[in-house]
Order: sequence, then structure tokens, then C-alpha cells
Amino acid sequence: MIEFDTPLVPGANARLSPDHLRPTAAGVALVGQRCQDCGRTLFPKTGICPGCRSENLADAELPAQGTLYSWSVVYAAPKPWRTPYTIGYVDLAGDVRVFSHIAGDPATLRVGMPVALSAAPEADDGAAAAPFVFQPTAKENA
Amino acid sequence: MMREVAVIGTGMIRFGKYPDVSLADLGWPAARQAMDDAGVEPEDIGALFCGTGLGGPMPGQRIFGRLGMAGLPIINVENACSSGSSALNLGHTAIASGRYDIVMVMGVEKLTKFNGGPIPLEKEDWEVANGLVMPALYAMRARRYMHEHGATPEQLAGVVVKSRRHAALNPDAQLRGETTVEEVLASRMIADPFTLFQCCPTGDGAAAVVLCAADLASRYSPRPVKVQASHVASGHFESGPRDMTVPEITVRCAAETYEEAGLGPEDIDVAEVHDAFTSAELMYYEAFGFCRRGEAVQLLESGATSLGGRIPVNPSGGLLSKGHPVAATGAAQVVEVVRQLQGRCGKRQVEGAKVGLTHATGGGISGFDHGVCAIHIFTV
Repeated sequence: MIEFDTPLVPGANARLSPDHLRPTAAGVALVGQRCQDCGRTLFPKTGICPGCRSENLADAELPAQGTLYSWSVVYAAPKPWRTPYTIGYVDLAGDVRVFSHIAGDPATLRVGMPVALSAAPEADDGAAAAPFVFQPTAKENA
Repeated sequence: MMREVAVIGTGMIRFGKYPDVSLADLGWPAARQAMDDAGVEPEDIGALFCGTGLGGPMPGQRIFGRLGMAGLPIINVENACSSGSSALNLGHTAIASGRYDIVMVMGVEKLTKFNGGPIPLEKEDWEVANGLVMPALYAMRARRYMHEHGATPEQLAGVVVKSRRHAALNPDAQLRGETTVEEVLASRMIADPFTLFQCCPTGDGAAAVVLCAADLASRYSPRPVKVQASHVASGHFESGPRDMTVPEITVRCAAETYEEAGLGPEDIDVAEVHDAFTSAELMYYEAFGFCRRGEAVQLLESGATSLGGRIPVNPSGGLLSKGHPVAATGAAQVVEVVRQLQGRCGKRQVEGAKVGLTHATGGGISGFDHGVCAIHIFTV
């Protein structure tokens, strides 16, 4: 008998299961996994390490600070997304890249700028909501 | 011992919006045109390979049933934007292995059924479920490329100007009107920095190719085109940072395909590459070795990739202007390149073309920069 134990619970949240987010004193933290055999960091969680096929994975809180690799302001998206919204890739220490909505004025965003995690704002009625956001930590000159 | 394979027939319908035409009725005219071009009858064909990305179940049965050809082995192939070219790879192997002498390959798609907007992606994917759309994925690559190499929005728009100039000479293209940098940049924003004209249009299409064992090809076609290499690669899963300005999968697949063909970038006379968005074409110039890294804009602006240049890229208009009905693209690229090598392309003919390349690559799943890449090289 094969044990089937995956931490993703689609029924609980079709977009990201709630155990990927942990409340902290500073607000919120992302919870991914660290492979206990090869050390690879994974986000979101999975049942098996793509690096070494180990199933020995432990929950790991990810750094809340990162750098913005790139971003785009989306003006055409399927419902229930309400446009425009900004998405990007954020590189966190520990060698993991996280896809995220990016808060703040898009005109102030710069490649490589520092960004920090925060809880997602409440979505408007009927609109899709991001599970979390990253936003610039320092004022940058436009 | 693998047998050599040749293309003996090509067919396609003009790409465009046909909301009232079913997938089956988009497909069969392309298949019939390819068989007429090859001079083969349905009973000459041993197997059928049909690519579709979003066409639903059994597109091959629906299409070939119309032509009285159901009953043959039909293999339906889904591999995102490389579905048609992946079907071609399977058809190639089916002949090379000696199992069949003649097969037909089709790529077909009807995107108008989705009523516009970016193509639907897999909702189970967590980035997609959280708001990732294809234009934004390419836009993030573009922004990073612009940051690292100093490319400007005007320079990206130059890709569209070239594309439309080529498409104006292609009666099978969806968008055939010429445009300007100003007009491209003034079109509405889709995913910053891409305006509408910098994104391939949604539309419907079908294209078909008849393949034959090379030693039998001259019985059917006065000008068979040899499949010099047929190659498919999949992307690497990457949970950490990756360089989005270098399409790793295309670099790797190109190297493997060049090796299989015994050819290099300097040998390519004409290429149809996956210009789903403006910046993609530029990055593929570099990935295929048509220029060095970071020099794609210079290559474009030198005119080298325009008709009449050293290495014309996307003489058909490419995805940006010919259109990009997902799975039909890979097959239609082959239709264009084969006809180029046969000297049948009229005003957009690349004079003296002997070696041509096609490239279709697809993605839209998290953890993969691209999921799949298929490259073919043809020679006469």
C-alpha cells in the first residue's frame, strides 16, 4: 500500500492552502519546505523534492525580505481578477523564488529593489484576492 | 538504422477569427490541401498525428472523420504551444523507425471559443491561480532583458514593424496591415511593458504536413524537403532563481538539434521562431546563435533578420502577425519553411534558401521557465 500524503489541500483553498501562511508579530510569514536530504528550499509545498526525490521535507519559514527580480502590471486577465494589478518574482535568501503580487505604486518599482512581505489587503467584493503581497521597503527615486 | 524522412505535402487555412466554424471544419481543409499537395490519397497514409493545445478530446477523430479517414491509428498530442511540432516529432519517429511509410501531421486550434483575452492556463497551477497570465510572464522576461541590455520600448516595437511588413506579403496571415513604432506603442496596454500590438493575436487556425520515407518521396513530390533534425526538449523544474533573459530550454534544444543536423547557426537560411511577444523574438536570435548575447536589437536594426537580410526570421509574419492558434503554430511554421525551401513563397521568398529552421516553445506552468520546446531543421 502506497501512502499518499500531500500537504496541498485544494478543497481548503483552491489557490494556496492556508498552512503556507503563518501569523507573526510582524504580520505574516511564508511557510515553505526545506528538503532534509539535499537542503533545497521549496515554495509552495510539495510531497517530494524535485532535486533529490526525497520525501523527507520539513516546513520552513521563509525570509520576509527579498529582491524584486522583475514585474509586470497586468491589464488583461480572466475574471475574477480586477485589473490593473501588479505581479512579480521575488528572490528570497535561501535560494527560493516566489511569485507574488506586488503592492505600491508600479511607477516606483525597480529591478533588484528590496521588497518585504506583508499580509494581503482585503479584496473588493467578488474580485480575486492575492494570498500575500510584497512591497518596496525603501523609498526609491523615480 | 533510422530512415530519413521528407515532407512531401503542406496545407494550411488562413489564420484568423472563425467563431462560427467548428474545430473539425477548421482542420479538414488544411489536411486535404496537404494531401493534394503531396499527391497522396487517404489510403496511402499509415497514421495520423494531431496536435491541439486547447481543442478538447479527440480532435483528430473529429477532423479525419470528416475525410473518411477515421479507422487509421490517430494519436492526439497535447504539448501546449509545441503541440503541433511535438506531433511532427512523433510522426517523424514513426517513419524513421520503419513502422509507416507515410503519415500526416496536423496542428489545429480554435481560440475564438474563449471569447478573447489571454489564453486560458491550467487553474490548478498555483501561479496561474494567483493571477499569472502568459503576457505578464513574457513581460517580466522583457523587463529584465531591457534592464540588463538597455533595450527600449521603441526597439521592442521594431519587432512588430518588421513582423507586419513580412505578413503583408503573406495571404495566410491574420494581421496583414503594416504598422509603425508609434502605432505599436500607442495601442492599449496588456501587460506592462507590452502593448496590444506586441502580443500575438488570438485566433483560429489549422495546418497539416504529409511526411514520407525519404527514399520513397520522389514517387509523390517533385520537390521533397528533407527533415534534417527533429527534436523536442522539456524544461527543467527550478524552485530557485533562474535567468529569465536566457531561454535555457531553447538554448539547450537548439544545441541538441544543431548537433543532430550536423549544422550550425551559420548554415540557417531562414527561420520561423516563437515570437509570441516582441522580446521573445529578440531573445531567440541570441538563443539560436544568430547573434551574441545582448546584441539582438542590433541584429534586428541591421536588417539582417528582415526579408533580404542575412538570416530572415519569421518571413511569414510569425506568431505576432500570422497569428498564434496554439497548436497550429508549430505545423504552420513547417508549412512556411518547407514552401520557402521549395521556392513557392512569392513576394516573401527568401532567395536561394536551402536550410530552414522552425521553433515552437510553450509554457505557463510554475517552476518552469518554459515547459516544452520543439525545433526542426529542414534541408533541400
